[in-house]
Amino acid sequence: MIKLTYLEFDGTPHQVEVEEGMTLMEGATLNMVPGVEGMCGGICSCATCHCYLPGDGKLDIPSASSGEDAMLDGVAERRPTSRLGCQVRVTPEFDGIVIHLPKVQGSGD
Amino acid sequence: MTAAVHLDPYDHQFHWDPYPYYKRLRDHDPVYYNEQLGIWLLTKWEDVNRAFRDFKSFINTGAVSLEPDSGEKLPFPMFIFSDPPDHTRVRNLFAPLMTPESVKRLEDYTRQKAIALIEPHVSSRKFDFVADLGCFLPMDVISSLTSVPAADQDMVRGWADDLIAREDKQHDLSERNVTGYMNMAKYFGEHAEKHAAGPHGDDLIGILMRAEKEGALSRNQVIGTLILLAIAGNETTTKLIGNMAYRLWQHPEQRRMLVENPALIPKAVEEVLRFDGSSQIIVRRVGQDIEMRGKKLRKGDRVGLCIISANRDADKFPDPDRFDVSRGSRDHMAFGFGLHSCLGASLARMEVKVVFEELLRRIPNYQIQEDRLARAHNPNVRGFTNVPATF
Repeated sequence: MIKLTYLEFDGTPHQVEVEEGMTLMEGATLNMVPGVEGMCGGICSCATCHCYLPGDGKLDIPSASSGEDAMLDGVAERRPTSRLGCQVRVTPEFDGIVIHLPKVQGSGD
Repeated sequence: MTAAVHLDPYDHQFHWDPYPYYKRLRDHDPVYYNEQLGIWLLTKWEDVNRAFRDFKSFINTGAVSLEPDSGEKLPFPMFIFSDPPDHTRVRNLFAPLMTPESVKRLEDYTRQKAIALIEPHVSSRKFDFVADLGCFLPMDVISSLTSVPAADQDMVRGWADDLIAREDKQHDLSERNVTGYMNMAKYFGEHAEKHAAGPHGDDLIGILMRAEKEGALSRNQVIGTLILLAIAGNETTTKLIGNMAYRLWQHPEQRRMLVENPALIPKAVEEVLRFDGSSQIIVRRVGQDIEMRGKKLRKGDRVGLCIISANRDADKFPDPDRFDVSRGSRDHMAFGFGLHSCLGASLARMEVKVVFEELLRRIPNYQIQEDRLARAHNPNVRGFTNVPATF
């Protein structure tokens, strides 16, 4: 199991354990972390698992596909570190990292 | 207090227009217990949403279909009947194939199939939206991913129809239901055997057989998944096509908007999913004692999540009984919500969009013969078997 922290927009931390191979969305929803909806269940079609990865470049993970990139265009407050949690698989190098969650999920409408 | 509301999801008459019954339940008894069936029915959006989200209080193991003994009578394991983390591991095998980006690769194939099914009927000026198209297309597309040959597809579809068919107020699985299931199990057992040695492509059958080889799935799980795909990839989309044709006929001014501006069709698909989705009720079991709106639900109780009722809840959707193709709400729960959300949602959306793009281009005006409409009867899936029209 990999220990990582989801940090809500208001600063509330949620330290959880996630099984390797699960996605960041599943890591949050399986632990009932508020601030991640995961409405579509992980098929990259709702953009309600938006999260910010650490921006220090230490995580060596595959970049977003064009489909994920297009979905991210629709989220409120996209940043260079934005990813959809359902498209990021948790590997051992996620151990100890902090995932920041946005103020709102989806487009914010 | 008004007179007690009664709702039997197996009543054929109820299937024709269930919405007034659901409204009465939402207004008077939103956490309703049907004593005869021994099942709770949740009808408010907020409650159904809670049940979808709280996967520990509302579990899938031993549930999903309405019949309590279906797990014993239909013995091949389907991941839909399991819970995280096992469920999540199996689901993740297929999720990459089901994203909108992956599904887009099937769009041309789907369009050519749709055109081939529509064109022969254009000159005859008669068309049945389900019997001439809806029943064939989704089975064809899912079969292209599971390598079921064209010559076998009608047979498999017939068995899937046998499995879901319910006589009026038939509360238990019938011999026809179980035989349909067993025929599928035998067929897919032989199908898996044929594909076990490979080569394993990147389609569904390739992913399944590779997972079996690597020890992630048992043969019975492979068979169960193929049966699940033959039902889920087929029955619900078929019925959604029929429901959309029917609602667009009832609302010609809305249909005209789509004919004039086909770019609105994806929004219209969302509105049909909300207004008249084909997945009526999905069942959970209570995983730990909980209280909802003053009612005590005990561990092990069965709970029906009435999706099409939640999607007409005025506390969630303003003016919910108004069909409006420009509404475009995506927070309906026609595909469920969260970890168990429909894996084929993008595929279904793409198929129905393509079908209506091609249909409305060729048949912009049509008259449905209402007296000849016919329904499939099942408590989970709701829709027509025949939607005959002239134009």
